[in-house]
Amino acid sequence: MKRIALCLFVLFFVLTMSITAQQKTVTFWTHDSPQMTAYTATLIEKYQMDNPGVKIDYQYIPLSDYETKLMVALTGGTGPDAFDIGDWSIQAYYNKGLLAPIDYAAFGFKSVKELQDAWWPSSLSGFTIKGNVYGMPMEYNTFCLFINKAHFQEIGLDPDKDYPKTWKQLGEIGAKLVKKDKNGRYVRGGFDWPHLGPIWSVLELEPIVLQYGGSFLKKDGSPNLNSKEVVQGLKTYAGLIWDYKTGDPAIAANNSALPNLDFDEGKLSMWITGPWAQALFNKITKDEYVVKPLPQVDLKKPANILYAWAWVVNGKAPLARQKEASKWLNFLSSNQGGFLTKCGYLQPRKGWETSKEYKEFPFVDVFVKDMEHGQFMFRSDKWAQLGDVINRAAEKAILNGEDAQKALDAAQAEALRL
Amino acid sequence: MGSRSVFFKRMSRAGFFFVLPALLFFILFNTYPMIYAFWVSLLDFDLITAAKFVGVKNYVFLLTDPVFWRSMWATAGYVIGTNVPIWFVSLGIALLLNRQFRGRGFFRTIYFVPAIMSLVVISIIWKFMYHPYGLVNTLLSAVGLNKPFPWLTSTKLAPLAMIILSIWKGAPYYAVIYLAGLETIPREYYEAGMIDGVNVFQRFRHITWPLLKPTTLFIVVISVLIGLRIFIPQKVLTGGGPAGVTRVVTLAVYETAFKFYRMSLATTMSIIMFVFIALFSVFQFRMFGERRRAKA
Repeated sequence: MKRIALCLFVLFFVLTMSITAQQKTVTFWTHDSPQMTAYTATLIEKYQMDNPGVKIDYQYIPLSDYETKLMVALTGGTGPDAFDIGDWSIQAYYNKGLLAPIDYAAFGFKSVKELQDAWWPSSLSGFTIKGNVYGMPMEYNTFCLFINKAHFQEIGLDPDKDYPKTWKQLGEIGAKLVKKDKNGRYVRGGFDWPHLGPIWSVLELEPIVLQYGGSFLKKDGSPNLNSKEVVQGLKTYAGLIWDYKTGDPAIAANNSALPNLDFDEGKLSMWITGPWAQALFNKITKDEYVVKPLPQVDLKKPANILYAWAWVVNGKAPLARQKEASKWLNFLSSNQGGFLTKCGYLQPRKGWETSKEYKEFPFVDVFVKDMEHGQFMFRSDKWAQLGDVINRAAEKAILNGEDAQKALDAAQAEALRL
Repeated sequence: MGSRSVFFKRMSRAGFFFVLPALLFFILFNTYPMIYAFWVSLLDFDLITAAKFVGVKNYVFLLTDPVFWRSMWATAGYVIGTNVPIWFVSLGIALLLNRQFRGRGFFRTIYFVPAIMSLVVISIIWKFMYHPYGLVNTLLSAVGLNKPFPWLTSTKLAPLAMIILSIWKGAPYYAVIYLAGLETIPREYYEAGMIDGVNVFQRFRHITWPLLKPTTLFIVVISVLIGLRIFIPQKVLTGGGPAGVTRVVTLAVYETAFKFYRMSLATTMSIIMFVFIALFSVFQFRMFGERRRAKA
């Protein structure tokens, strides 16, 4: 009897060990965004059921700590096999050898070209380095103008016809939409910028600079921050607040977890944000606002910004795990409908534009149309530092009304030392 | 004599073994990282790619970098702006709470609450209070200052906002130390003063203040050292902004290391800061020593 029990125990042990040995684990990290992490968790369950030999070990980390924890883990060799990063970081991660090319075969393609062709035009350009694709967009964004319909109607304007097409018009209409109390405090802003740090400052300012025909960097990659076009861009950016007085610069600095709160609560009539914001609105309904293209400097030469959070594969992970990670990313990026309806994330993989989810997503055509003349934020190995410098200049101009040229001369001097 | 010497040798050996665990801990987690940090400051190291020896390049870069000096000045401004008022405010609180009045125990407890609260929690609460339409501006509007002050988004007001918060948080702590100092002053001195007919100011000037000097010196040293290492309010309330005016050195070190991944530069900043703190500490210890000698 004892022998039989012993044999059964040994058999059980060996079977357990062999199952564990056969099971492949893919460690996967993302930043925390409630809708996205919840939906990702449901996809993990589905993927594991469809692939019994694979376990997805998922962790999500608050955005404020995300990159720090990620970098420390990657440095210490304990980084995840797959993770998400902002497109602006891709060059720095690539230069440090932290990214592996996406395995196109795991996506079912025969070449990188085939993989690229299966996504919207240019949508993978921000992740393509030296012919290889290093990231698959989890959310693909541009910034458009959100307008509160009732506020527009209140001042006798039709939001569908009279919406501002240029920054000048935005300033003029924004000023009319402002409401103040008897003490001169803003009760409602006509338009305001969120001041949430370097990424937001670049996202807001760079499209205006592009519209003026400029860029933050010269062709050789050196800083170009006090060029005529960037100065004009910053003047336009800050001028909405200081010249047109469309909003109180001190108020829009919301908590970064809720950057759209003021628009959602009706404290702002116009606001610039991405398609993802719609999933975070709690109060304002889709019938109460409209989304219009980003205002321009010159309507004949439209320009906008593209940005994305993308799933990438750890370049330091063993090859077998990289392959498994690519398969997992293929599965993730095949659920465009779910990501759109649950999280408000547009994903640029072709073939789902006729789907119900796509067609029913509010104002999807406006976003996609604006993406056509969009380009990704500037690329630099020193993006984080340059972004910090640009942010400081933007803050000086918008929060304190400092002269744009002076703020950008200082920024250029700082940038040249990096 | 010989047996005494053996005894002391044995004792010192035993003592050494008692101290050894703490010594090892100190060497491993304190001395070694400090030496390693100094080594890293001589490299170009970003955590991931291979490090390169660059000598004193990082020191030269930082000592001529206006951004770093702005952080140094932000730190100096914070330390002076916070600590000078805090010494007087804490002494004032201590003198008030040292008097006999009804509910003294209650007030002593209440005043100490900010000191025991987490600085992160306090910073989050003050972030809401400093909102243009938050409690601070609401209170100011009650006294006729209706314009909402942009406490955290103005380059002029944000450093002041940090100082006000820190005084509120720090003064009760130092007040308790002053209270302890006041308790040690013998009552007989005051009784003798009263017999001599001294008034309240003379009593403070000739009895309280001279006898509180050791306590004051202790508070000066401790508060300045704590001030030089401040990080949390600047990180939570403004993230170093607006336009870098609240980016104190510790925050600059953190960002340089974990946001920009310039580990060597961050380490060099720490070492420069360490030198400043060490110099200040030596200066303080000398002051202590001179005063002690003068007293002797």
